[in-house]
Amino acid sequence: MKRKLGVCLFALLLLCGCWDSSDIEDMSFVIGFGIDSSESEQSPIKHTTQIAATKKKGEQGAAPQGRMYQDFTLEGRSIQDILRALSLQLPYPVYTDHLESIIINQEIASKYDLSILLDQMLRDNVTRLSPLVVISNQQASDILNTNIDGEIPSSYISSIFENETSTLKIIPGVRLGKLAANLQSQKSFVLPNVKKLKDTVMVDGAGVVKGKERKLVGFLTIKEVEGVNWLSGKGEAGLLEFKDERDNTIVYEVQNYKTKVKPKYQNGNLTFHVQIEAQGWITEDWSKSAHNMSEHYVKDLERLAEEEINKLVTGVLDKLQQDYKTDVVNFSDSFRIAYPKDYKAMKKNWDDYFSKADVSYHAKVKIINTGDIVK
Amino acid sequence: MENILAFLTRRDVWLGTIVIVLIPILLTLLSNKLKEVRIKTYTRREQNFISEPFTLTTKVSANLKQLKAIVGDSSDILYRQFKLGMDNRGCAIVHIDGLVDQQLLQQSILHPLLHSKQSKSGLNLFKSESIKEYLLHHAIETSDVTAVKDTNKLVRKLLSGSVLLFVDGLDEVLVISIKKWLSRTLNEPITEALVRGPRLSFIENIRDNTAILRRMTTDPNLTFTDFEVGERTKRQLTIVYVKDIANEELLENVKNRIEKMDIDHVAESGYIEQLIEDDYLSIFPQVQSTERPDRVMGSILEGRVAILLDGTSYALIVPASFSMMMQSPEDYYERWLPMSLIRMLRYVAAFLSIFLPSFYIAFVSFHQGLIPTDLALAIAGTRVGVPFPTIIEALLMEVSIELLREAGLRLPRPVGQTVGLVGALIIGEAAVQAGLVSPIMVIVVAATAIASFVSPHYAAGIAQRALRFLAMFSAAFLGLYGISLFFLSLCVHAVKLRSFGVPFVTPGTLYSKDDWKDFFFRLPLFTMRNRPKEYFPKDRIRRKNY
Amino acid sequence: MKMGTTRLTTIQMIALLSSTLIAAGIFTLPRNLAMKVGTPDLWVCVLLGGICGYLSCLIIISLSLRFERLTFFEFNKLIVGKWIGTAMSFGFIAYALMIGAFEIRSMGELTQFYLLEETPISVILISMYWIAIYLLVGGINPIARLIELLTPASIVIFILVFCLGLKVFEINNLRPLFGLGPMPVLKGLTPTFLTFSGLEFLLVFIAMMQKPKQAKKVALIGLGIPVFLYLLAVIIITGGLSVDRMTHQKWPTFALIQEYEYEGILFERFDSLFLVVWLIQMFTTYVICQYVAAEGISTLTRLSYKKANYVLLAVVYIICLIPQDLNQLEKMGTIIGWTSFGYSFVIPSVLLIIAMARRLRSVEEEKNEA
Repeated sequence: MKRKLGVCLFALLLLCGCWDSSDIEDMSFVIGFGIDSSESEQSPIKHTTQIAATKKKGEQGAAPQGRMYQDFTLEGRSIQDILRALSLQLPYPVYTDHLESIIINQEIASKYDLSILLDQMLRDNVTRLSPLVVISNQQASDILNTNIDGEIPSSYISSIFENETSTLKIIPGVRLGKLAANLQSQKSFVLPNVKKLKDTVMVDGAGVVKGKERKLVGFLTIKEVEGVNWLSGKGEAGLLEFKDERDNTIVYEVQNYKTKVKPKYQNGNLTFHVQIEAQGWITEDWSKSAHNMSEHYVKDLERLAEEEINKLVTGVLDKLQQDYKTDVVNFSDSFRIAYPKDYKAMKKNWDDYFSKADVSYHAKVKIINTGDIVK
Repeated sequence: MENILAFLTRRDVWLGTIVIVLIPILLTLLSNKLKEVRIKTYTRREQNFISEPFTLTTKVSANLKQLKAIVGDSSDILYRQFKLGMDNRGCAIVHIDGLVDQQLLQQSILHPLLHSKQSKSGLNLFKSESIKEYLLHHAIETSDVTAVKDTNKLVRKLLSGSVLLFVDGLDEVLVISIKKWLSRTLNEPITEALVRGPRLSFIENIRDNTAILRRMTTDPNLTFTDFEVGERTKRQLTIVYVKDIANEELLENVKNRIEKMDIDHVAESGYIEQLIEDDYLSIFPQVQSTERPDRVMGSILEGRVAILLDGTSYALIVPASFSMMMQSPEDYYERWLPMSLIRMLRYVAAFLSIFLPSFYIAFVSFHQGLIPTDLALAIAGTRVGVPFPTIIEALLMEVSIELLREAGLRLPRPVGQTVGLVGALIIGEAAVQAGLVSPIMVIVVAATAIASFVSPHYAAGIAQRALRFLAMFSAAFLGLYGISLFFLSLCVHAVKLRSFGVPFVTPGTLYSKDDWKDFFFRLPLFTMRNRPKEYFPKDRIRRKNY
Repeated sequence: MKMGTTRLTTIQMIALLSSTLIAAGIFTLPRNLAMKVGTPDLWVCVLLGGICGYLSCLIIISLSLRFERLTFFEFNKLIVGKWIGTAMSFGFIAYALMIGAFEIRSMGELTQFYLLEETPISVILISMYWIAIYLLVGGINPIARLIELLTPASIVIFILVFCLGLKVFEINNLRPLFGLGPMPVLKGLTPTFLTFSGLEFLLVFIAMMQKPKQAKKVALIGLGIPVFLYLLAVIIITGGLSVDRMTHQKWPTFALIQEYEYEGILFERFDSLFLVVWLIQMFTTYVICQYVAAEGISTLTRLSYKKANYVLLAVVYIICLIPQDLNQLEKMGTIIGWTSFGYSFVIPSVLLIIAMARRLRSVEEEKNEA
C-alpha cells in the first residue's frame, strides 16, 4: 500500500508539478523597507526596498567584498504597487518573509495615518509580525544606504535593539505585531528614532505617535527617553549618570528596577502615584571621595540618584502631558486594572484624561555595592 | 439557495469527488488482488521424488539392489559388504562418503561387527528379532541407532548422512547416525558486531546452532520442534521457544504457517521470512533476522519464537515489532544511563536518515521564510549557479551515495573500503566544484548516510533508505505539508501492520506501567520485572522480587 | 492469555476523547473568546466550559451504561421507538460528518494560508482524505493505536511551544479578574462550548470499551487534558498579546508564536512546527468523526462498514467545499457548536429521563468478547 501510495504521489508530481516550489536562489530577499514622502503630487510615497545580495560563487568563506545589499527607491501611490513595480527591475520576485526593519520618515509619518502606511505589510500573509519599526527624522532611503562594513543596514539596526539590557537610553524595539495592536486599539506609543552617522547608524531618542490620529506628533530626546523608561518600567537595565554637589560625575549602574503606578480616580479627578525602586552598583565615581564605604556617603549618593531620576521624570512628564498630550508610558494599563469599568468609558479619550492627571512620583534607589576598590 | 445550486453544478467539485473516491477504491481492489496472488494455491501434482517404495526383504543383496535402483550409482555412496564376525552372516554398510565420521565408523561399528564373538547373551541368533536385539544392545557402540522399515525414510536418512546397516535375515535396516562433515568454525557475527558482548555467531550447521542455544540455559522448558521444509530438498527447520512463556496462539500460528509453506527448495532463512510474513507489500521487516545467539535467547525469553534453518547462519525471530528495530543486545550489556542516551540517539538517527533530505528540500524550495535569515542567505549564496531544482540535486547526490554503498559491498573488502571513501570524497568535491550541487547539499547527504548506518538492524536500515526517497518526493511535491502527510501515512501503515497477530506498533507500551522502561529509554535492569506485554507471554513475571 | 483484543483499552479511550476535542479550536477559540468576552477573564470561561463538558459527559455515560455494549445508534430505538430513533441517528451522522468536514477544511485553509499559497486547496484536501481512508478501512483498532501514538507527541510539542511563549508573557495583561463583573464570562461560554464539541462521540465509543465501568475516569482525564491545554493556550496568549490584540489578529495563536523568536536555534520560527503538529491533530479528529459516521451508517443500513466509508468520503468532501470563504466556515463552526449542544446535552438528558421513567435497561449479554 505504502509503495503504491508513493508511486501515486510520484505520478502526480510528474503530472502537475509543484505549485509552490521555487528555488531559494531565485528570489530577492527583502531585508528592509524605508518609507519617505516625495515631492510629486501624483505619487506621494517614496519607498525604498533593501534587498540582500546573495554571495557570488567562489566567495564562500572569504571576507565579503563590496556591498551586501541593493537599494531600490521607487515612487508610487501604494506600497503594493511599488513592490510589484520592482519586478520590472529585478530578475527574481521579491520575498518579504525575512524583512527585518521598516524605517519611516518623520514627514510622512506625521502626514499619514500609520495604520494605512503599514497596511500592506499587515495584510500580507508572507510578512511576519517580527520586523522592527523605527522612525527617522532623516530620509529613510539615506539611512538604508549607510555604508557599514560587512553589514546590511536594516539588520544592523534591528540588532542594535538587542542592547536594551545595557542602556536605558533606548526604548525597547517595537515589532510590527505590537505596533499593529497599538494602532488598532488607538493607544499612544513611542517608536525609536534612528539617524545616520558617517558610517554607522545610531538610535537617537524616539518619536511619539498619538493613538487617536495614529500619526507622529513629536520627538523625545535621549534624556527624555530615559525618563520614559523610568516611568514605564519597560527597560531592562542600564546606567544612571548624575553629578554630586561639587559637579563630579558619578555613574550608577541599574541592575533592575521596578515602577509601580497607583492610579486614583475620584469625582472625575485622576491622580497617579508612581513609585520607582531601583537596585544597582556604583561603577564610576569621579568625586575622589575618601570614604566610599561609609554609610553616610552611600546614603548621600542614593539621594543624589533619586533626585536625578526625579529630574528625568519631571522633564519627560511635562513634555508628554503639556506638549504632546499622549500617554506613552502605559499608565492606562494600571488604570485599567484598578478601574476596569471606568476605563471602558474613558478608553476613547484616554490621552486627554492622561494629560490632565496629577502625577506624583517617588524614586527609591538602593546601592548594594560600591565596587571592588576600597578607597 | 442559489449559491448551493451554483455550488452543486461546479465541475471541479464533482471531479474532485470522483477522484477522491475512485482512486482509493481502485487501490484497495488492486492491493486485494495482489494479496490474493500470494494466497492462491498451486494445485501441484503430488510429487514423488523417490520413484517407488520397495519392501525390504531378508536378503541383503536384494535390498541393496533395490536401494541402488533408487539412489543410482552416485560415486559418493559407498557400499561395503562383509560377514558378521560371529556367524558369517552377510552384512552391508551403506553410507555417503564425506558425511560420516570415518574413524568412528571404523572403531565403533565395523570393528565390533567384524570381530564379534558369540557373546554371553544367549540369544538364538537364527531368529530375526534376536539378531536385531543383539546388534542394538551388544554389538554397535554408538548412541544414535534406530531400526527403520520405511524405505522412503531410509533413503532420506542415507542421503542426509546416516549409515545404513543391512543384515541378512532382518527385514529392517539399522540406521546409525555418526554424521560429521566439514563446517565452519564459530566466528564473530559480522553484520551485528558489538563492542561488548559474546563474540559468537550462529553457523550453517543447525545442530551446532541448537547446541549453542542449549548451552545458554538448562531450563527444561526450552523446546526445539523440528520441521522439514522444501518439497524436494527437505531441509531441517527448527523452531525454538520456551514452553511456559511463549503464547500458544502465537506458536500455533507459526507452526501453521511453516507447514503451509509451499516451496521446493529453501536456500536461506530469507525465503522463509518472505513466505510466512503477514504483508508482503509492506516496506517494514515483519520478521527479525539475526546471527547472534544472545539476541535469539533474549527474544525467546520475552515470549517470542525463533526459527532456525539448516544451512544458514541467520535465525529468524517472530513476531517483530517497531521497537525491536531500534534495539541492540548491547543496550543491556552496558550501563543503563549511557545506553538510554544511545537508544534515543538511534531514534533521532532513524528520523534524520528518513527525513533530513526532505526537510532540506522543503525548506529550500518551499518555506524559505522558516529558516533564519542568515542561513537562508548562506544557502541562497551556495546555490547560485546550481542548474537543478533542489529535488534533482538531492536525488543526484542520494543516488550516487547509494551507488557507492552498493559498490563498496560487492568489491573485495580492502578495495571496497577505499572505493567507498575515495568515491564519496571525490564525487562530493567534484560535484561542488563543477557547480552541480551546493556544498550544503553534500553536508545533508553525508549526514543522512551516517545516520542511516546507525541502525542496529540491517533490514530496518534498508527500509529507511527506501523511505527516504519517498519522503523526498513528497517534500518536493507539497513541502512541509507533504512531509507531514508522508509521516502520517507511514504511521498509519505501521499501525495497521501486524506481525503474527501482534500489532507492529503497540503504542500502549508508552503508557504501560512496565513496558515504557524499555522503549525510548533503557531503564536499569532491576526495574524490568515483567516481560513486555507486546508479545502476550504466558508468564509475565521475570523476577518476583528484587 | 489471549492475543489482541478488539475492544478499546482505557488509555486508548482517553487518547481518543482528548484528541477529538483538541482540534481547530486552538486557532479559533482565543479570538472568538476575546471578541465575546473582551476582558482578561477568558481563561475562566475555558475552565467553566470544561466543567459543563464534564457534566454532560456524566449524563452521556450514565445513559450509555444503561445499555451495555450498545451504541447510540442501537439504543435510541429502544428508548424512543424506531422512527424517532432512526431520525436521531441520521442527525448524529450528519453532525459527525459536519465536524469532520469542518476540521479538514480548517486544516486546508490554514495550510494554504501559511505553507502553500499557490497550491489548490482541493489538492491539499484530497491528499489528506486518501490517508484518512487508508486508515479508516482498517477499523477502530488501528485508529485507536494511531491516536495513542500521536497524541502524546502533539501534547508535548504543544506545551513546549506555549511555554516558550512565556518569554513575552506579561501578568498585567491577565489582570484584573472579573473587572467588569461575571457577565462577560458567561458570554464567553458559548464559544467554549463549541470548542468542546465532540464529547457526544462517547455515546458510541463507550460501547466499545474493554471496561465500560471506567468511563467516568476516561471522561475526567480525556476532558481534563484538552481543558488544560486550552487553558494554557488562552492564558499564555492573553498574557503575551493582551485581549485587545487578540481581537484584531486573525489567528492569535500564530501571532503569539511569531511574537517570540529564539535566535540561534535551527528552528528560529516555531509556527511551522506547531502547524505541522496541529495538522496531524486535526487529521485524527476528522478520522474519529468519519469513523463514528460510518459505524452509524453500517448499523442503520445494509452497507458494510468499508463501503460506508467510501460513500461518506465523497459526502464529507462535498460538505467541506460548501463554505465559500473563511466567514462561512466560521458560521459552519457556530452551527456545529449549537448542534453539539443538542447532542451532548439536550438529547442525552431527554433520553436518560425517558429511559429512567420507563425503567429501560438492556439485557446483559455476556459474550465475553474482550
